[in-house]
Amino acid sequence: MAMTDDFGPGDQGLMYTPEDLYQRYYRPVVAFFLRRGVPIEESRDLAQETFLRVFKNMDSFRGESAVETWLFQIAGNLYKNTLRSLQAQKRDAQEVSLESAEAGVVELRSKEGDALRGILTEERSRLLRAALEDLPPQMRQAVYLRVDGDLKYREIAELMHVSIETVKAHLYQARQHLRDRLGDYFRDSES
Amino acid sequence: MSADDEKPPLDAALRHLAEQQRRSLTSHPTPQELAVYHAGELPPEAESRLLDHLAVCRDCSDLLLDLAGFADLKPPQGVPELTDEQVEQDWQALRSRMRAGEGREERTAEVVPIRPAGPPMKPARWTSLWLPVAASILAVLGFSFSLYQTVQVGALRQQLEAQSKPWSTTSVPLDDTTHRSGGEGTVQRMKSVDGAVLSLYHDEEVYPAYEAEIVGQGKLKAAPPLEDGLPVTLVIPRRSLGPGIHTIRLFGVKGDQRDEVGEYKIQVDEP
Repeated sequence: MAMTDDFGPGDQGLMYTPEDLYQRYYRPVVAFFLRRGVPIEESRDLAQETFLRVFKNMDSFRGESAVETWLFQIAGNLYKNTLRSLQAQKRDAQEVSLESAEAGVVELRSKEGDALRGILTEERSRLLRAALEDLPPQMRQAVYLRVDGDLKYREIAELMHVSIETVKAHLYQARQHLRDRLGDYFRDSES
Repeated sequence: MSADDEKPPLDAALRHLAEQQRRSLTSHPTPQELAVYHAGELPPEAESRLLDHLAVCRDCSDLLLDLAGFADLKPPQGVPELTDEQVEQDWQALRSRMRAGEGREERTAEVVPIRPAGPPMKPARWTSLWLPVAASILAVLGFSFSLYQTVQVGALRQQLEAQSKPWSTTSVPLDDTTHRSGGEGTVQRMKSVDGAVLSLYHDEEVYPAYEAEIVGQGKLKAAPPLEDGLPVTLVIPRRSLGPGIHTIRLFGVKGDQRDEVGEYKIQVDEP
């Protein structure tokens, strides 16, 4: 990354050539694919493809976007396309085994659900859904992100565009509400 | 066993309910939609719908969190970072693919450049630019309509026209100029908090090096075209320009020679 001498202080002097752009963002782009479970060699291929598209399509860049946002969009599209094409290949080639594999995944994911099924009666499910519906949307979303997504307060705040304090308040109030409404039917996990 | 032990745990029941909702999801937001949401530019209703989706879709919420920290993304635990040698090896491979012109065939429309101010363009070329320009405008209009409902085009256009004379020879609506357009002195638009990568086309010979002067602000190096027909690339750093319309003068540099090859304008929105 080169620094120019007279563009102003701090960050304002930074500029990128395509090579600078590559050097600055290649590792994060590879990491982006790795974090989605793509093997290392394929991640490098996809990252190269991302930059190939970046360099070939400078002309279609919407100047309002940050560079990172632009890279994210291209990498995200490539990832989704790759996922779709892998799924299509699997469907074409291994229909039977894919079905059994999917069944295995569902089985794994719902292990906890299976354990619950015996005691989570239809009545309890209905009450839980109703109690959640009564929560303001942001509170309900915060509860799901915390309990189901297992996200940190900071991550929930980032996703919801609110402060960490607001997230804490939402979760506190939501838990109070659910405890009041459902205390006779569910055991509070915090107790 | 107490009565409490017979009750199912609330958190597990919530996860079970979320799992049911997750299975019923039929579609996911695109990376573009996530980026617009991340920028806080979705209308409230769409934002609430997207948040409902994120609440039960770990894949999409992970994607969005990765966008928020994109510049510092690290591989997952247990996977090592690429070595400098691997990064260099991939750069050389990428350069070879660029030189081989890979990806070019994917283009479906002629590249429509931002033209610098200067002598009038030849009529034939001018005409040939309009079809792709019209296509771009239609595409961007559709996109903009759904996402940006409060753009005050009229006032901004007046400001643009007043400030860009004598360069402005076309009246492309301002909210369309975020895309490529073909008129002299047309303006690309960016937000003050964002950086931008600008593709600058000019009619002169290709120089080995370029320098851009943002009038009243300072100078930046610009990257020469990677090959003939591609633009000069100028990266405007994040938060470097205040709101308003800025003029960029592009110079080709060859040894001691420094020739002005184009002048461009960029609109920076109020934060």
